[in-house]
Amino acid sequence: MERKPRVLVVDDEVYLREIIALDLERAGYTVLQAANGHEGLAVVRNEAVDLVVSDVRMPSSDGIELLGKIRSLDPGHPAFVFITAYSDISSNEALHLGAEAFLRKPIEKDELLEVVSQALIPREARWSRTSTDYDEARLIEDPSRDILGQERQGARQIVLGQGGMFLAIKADQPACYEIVQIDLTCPALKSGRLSGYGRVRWTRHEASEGLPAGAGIEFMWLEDVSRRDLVEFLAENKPTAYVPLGGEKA
Amino acid sequence: MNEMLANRTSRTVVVSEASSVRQMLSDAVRNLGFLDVTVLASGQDVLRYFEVDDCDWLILPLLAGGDVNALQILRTVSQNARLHRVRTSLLYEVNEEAVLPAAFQLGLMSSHPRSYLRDDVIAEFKSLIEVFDACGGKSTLVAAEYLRRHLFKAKQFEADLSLEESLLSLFPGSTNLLLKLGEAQLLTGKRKEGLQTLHQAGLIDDKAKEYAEKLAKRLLNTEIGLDEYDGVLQNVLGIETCVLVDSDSSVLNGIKDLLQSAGVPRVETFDNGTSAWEWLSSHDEPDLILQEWRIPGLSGPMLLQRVRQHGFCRTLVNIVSSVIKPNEVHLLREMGVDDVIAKPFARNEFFKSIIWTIQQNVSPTERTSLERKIGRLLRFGQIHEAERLKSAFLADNRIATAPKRLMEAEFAFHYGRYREARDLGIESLKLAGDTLRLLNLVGKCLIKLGDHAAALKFFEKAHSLSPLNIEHLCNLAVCHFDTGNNKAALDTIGKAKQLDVKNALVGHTECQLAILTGETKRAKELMGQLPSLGKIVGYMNNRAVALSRCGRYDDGIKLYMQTMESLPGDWGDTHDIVAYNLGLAYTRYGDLPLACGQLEAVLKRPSAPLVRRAQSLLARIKNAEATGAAITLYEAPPLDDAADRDTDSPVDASEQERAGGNGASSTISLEIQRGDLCLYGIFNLNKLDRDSARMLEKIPHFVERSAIERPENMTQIHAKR
Repeated sequence: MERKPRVLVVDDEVYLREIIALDLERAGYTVLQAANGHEGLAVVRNEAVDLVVSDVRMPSSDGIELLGKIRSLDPGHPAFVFITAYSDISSNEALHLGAEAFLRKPIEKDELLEVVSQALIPREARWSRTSTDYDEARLIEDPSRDILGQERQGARQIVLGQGGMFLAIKADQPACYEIVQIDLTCPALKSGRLSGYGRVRWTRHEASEGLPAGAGIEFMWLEDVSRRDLVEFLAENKPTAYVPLGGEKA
Repeated sequence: MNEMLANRTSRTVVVSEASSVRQMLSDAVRNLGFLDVTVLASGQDVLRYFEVDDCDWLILPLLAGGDVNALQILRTVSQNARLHRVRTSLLYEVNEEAVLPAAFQLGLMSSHPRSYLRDDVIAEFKSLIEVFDACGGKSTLVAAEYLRRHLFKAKQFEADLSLEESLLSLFPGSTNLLLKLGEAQLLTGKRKEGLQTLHQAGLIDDKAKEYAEKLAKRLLNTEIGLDEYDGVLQNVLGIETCVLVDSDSSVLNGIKDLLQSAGVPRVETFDNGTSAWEWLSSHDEPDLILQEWRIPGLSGPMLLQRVRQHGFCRTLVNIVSSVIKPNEVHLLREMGVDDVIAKPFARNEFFKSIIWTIQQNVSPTERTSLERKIGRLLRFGQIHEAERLKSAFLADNRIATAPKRLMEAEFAFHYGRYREARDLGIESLKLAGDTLRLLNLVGKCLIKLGDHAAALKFFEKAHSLSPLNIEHLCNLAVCHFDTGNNKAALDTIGKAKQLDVKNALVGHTECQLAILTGETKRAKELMGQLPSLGKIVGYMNNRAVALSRCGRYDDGIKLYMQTMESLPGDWGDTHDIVAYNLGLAYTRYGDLPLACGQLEAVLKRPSAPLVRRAQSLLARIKNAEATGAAITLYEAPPLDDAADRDTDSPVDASEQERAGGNGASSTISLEIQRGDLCLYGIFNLNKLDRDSARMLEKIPHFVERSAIERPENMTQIHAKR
């Protein structure tokens, strides 16, 4: 029989931690607990953990430090979800550091269970699911031809992460949370192409601080070849980001 | 959008009196990659050239002693819409510096000390191109940079201060301009204001903080902690009222603090949608709404739709949320949401989003921003400005053909050219598939054209894509009725009521359906709840006229009767309007006694504005009855949705003559706006210097030749080159 998924809850507030643990146990998960980053790291080192749900602000060793240490052990595992209050950390930075989702305080049970169950789906399974949400997705492709029909130079800049990518988009950006279809030249992958659907997690309207304008896109569904290539790429290159902030100036 | 220096295909005109200098300048410009260069010898030649030809970049000396001088040319450019694209660089001698402010006031882009060495000229223009790139291709900012250099050199700090204030209002939230403003304030002795402005720049952008501190230290020669400074805040964003809605009080307080630090005078906070709506529905339209998508009480999507339905279409809306479902993102686009910020966010990101939103609204460059802005302008009948932006949209070669066709379709719809609008819409659909905007537009066209069955398909698709959109449901309900499916119509309006029973459009549509299905009792009840009856009566009138047009006179008259019966007790003017329209319908039908009956009823209440028209019509009928002559009715205007929009004025009586919208696009004059032509309208001297005044005394002869193309065509030709 398959073992129950194991979730580590890290929070210095005992009361909140217990509530979360209770909700998760009732939903059929095995729950481990830790009161700060140090304890949390010790649990991850010593036991099988599939998902970490951690507060950001904690005395002595905070959630951001914990995430950094866990990712230096293994860039792709376990999945990591932040519990945040207003202005603890910005979502694009957290995604860059390797977290993949957020739980807002005060935590609502439905949201907790939804986020946790999503985060526990393994990558390849996640990228194989189809959905009607994809039907009307806007296509983002390489800027291949200009209006004179002449070939334009260069593909879009892509930086790949464990769960998504940074994609440079200068004009006509999608909206945050929009589902987009992608069909792009991606030299980092074996087949040289990246095709599928993704969800926009954040947008950067204008280039700033050395980072080009573009969007952080989480992969939703990938074509077989792209999926296989990406898994291979991640195994080889081990990026720590879930969705990267972007690379050098395009 | 003006890519004149970024894109080396610009048409350049170089002017100099001496042929050797002309040759050298032309060589220098070609050396930089501008290959389309025309060389002219005098100011007179420039004007002759401008009368018939097109130019992007004009490079010339002041020509102070010439037949036509540079200032006169600048003035001519500013006064002729077709020439507003011309960017001018002036090559000045040292003793000519005094006229520079006047030249910038007239729309100059850049000023360069005159040199006769090719390499110097190349270096000057290279530097111009760098400034141009650094300013993101905005020639207003390029001109500001050159003028600023001159004003600093001449120590005209007061003039610089007024320049910076004016620029900030055009580029709200720009930290760069805030720093410049702070500097100008300090240099003019406004110490308190200057420090406060620099402090605010630091609050908005961390990167600016360090620079602001250095600047304050250099100018005041003292160590000053900007954080400690507490004075009058500059309203950096140009926003007077902002409404915040979020259930999390720490978010509300945090954002409120941020906005107040940016000098927003009024910030109203609400922790649920219901109380936010109560406030919004009883106050003027705010400048900005920042709302979480998941809010208690009235939900985020429903609040947003009520706000738009209420007629608040100018207000900018940013959604701040940690999650939005895929099928709800459509609704965001449809409701013209300006930006979505993912929660949690950092202060810098928050300000970047808000400032981007405001700047895109002031001068849109992104496709979606242009579409939103044009939509807003059309809704408010600001057709000139809308046409102007449409030209820019159509000329923008980054934008694909499908959105352009859709844009043209929306204008055609606005002008009442429904067939054309439908065809353009379908062309767009073939090119790039359907989008909600497209489905909605084609659906509305089909309704206007009487093809209800086809319209039904479009609205059904729109509803399936964006299930929370109340407008789609209402359109769909009416379509169901029109295709004879009353049950589906009632089911659909029921669904809309479930989403938000208090939405104005839902009440309105339910009432329409009650009248149409002849449930006059229910209709009367519903009408009593509506704030205004003008809209519904207008709708019924248009419908009745449409019915008569396709020969269904009886149905048209029945509809008037049903409308009349449904009117609640206190009819007032509304009753007269329906009665008059009914009288008119009878007249068309040839049933003159019944027509007279209705018109005489109208005349019983001598207060209504329709009395004159009713009298006139009645007199013509009586005359016709007496003499047997035909009754002259004035040509009816084409049906359009003007009456739907116009809620309070009397419904378009078919007799009324109205100026058609057709062809309006070709006759409008494109008035110059702030930001179109460098600093024109932005920088204003109190008084011209003596030299400039003298140079501008004469107005040179300039007549555009009739052979030249119209501006719209020209932009397109340019885009294809």
